[in-house]
Amino acid sequence: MHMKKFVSKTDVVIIALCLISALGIFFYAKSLMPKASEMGNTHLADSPTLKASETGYVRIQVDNRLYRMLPLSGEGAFPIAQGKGKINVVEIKDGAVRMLSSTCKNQNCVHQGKVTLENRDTRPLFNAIVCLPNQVLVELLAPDEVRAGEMP
Amino acid sequence: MKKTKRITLAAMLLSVMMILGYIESLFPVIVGVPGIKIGLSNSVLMLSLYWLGIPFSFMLMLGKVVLTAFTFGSLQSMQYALAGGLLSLLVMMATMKLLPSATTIGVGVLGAVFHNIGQMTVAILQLQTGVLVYYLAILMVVGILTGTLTGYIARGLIDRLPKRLFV
Repeated sequence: MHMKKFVSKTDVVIIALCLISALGIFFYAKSLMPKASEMGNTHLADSPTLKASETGYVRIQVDNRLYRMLPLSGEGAFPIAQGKGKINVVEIKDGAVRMLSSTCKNQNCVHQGKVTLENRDTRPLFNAIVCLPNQVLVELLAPDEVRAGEMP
Repeated sequence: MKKTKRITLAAMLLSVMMILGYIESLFPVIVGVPGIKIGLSNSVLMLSLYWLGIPFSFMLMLGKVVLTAFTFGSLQSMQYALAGGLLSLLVMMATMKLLPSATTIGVGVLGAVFHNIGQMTVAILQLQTGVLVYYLAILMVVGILTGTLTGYIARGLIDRLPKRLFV
């Protein structure tokens, strides 16, 4: 097992193909994202519970089902209790949403930090906070990204 | 005697893999960015692939996944580890068989990238969110870097450890 070179030609091809696939997946994912204009939104005026001044919404999904939709202006700590001791607490404060605490083992969701309308395009997980152990997905949405029937 | 030696070596490698995996879980590479780890135990698994062959390496991977889940993790974390470990090992085996001109670095990169693909596929199926497809692309690029590192370490192990003492 003697290797003179750091990488072989085959290695370079492998790395290049992986990089190209990653780019491909990135742009494929981008094309999957629904555009605001195509989503059939509720118009802000149609929903009596909505304030026209609302800047964003926090969508909480548990086990792939809509759990709660909260306005970004409604500050507070919102517990998500699933039984069996699974509790996540989502905090909305000063235009930012974060996972305040979680009973999960890895605490990844807590470490993912705050999402704001300003930083959500530059975070690694974009607008989302994900807790895989407890199957909780928290997303910060702009008003035009909210689908009909999801309004709080 | 030879078989005893191989079984003993496999057991030793398994314990090294578990400890490496545990130590890595204590020190996240970037705090707040989930799913990113160096994957040092894959260097050991590659050593096993080159020295002990496929059946032993398969048992090592399964052993690591199951024992880690029962000691440090949960059945839920085992789904991710198993999907990643299985896909990663299958791709690494196929690469070694079909592309003999690939070095441990090529094998390591594919192992890391497909580990991430396996894990994220489970996560995407469970949470069904497009954000995670984006994230998979990021993790694949990270996998190229960590796979190069673990492949380089595997090469160091294979070149420097005296094989005749072990196998």
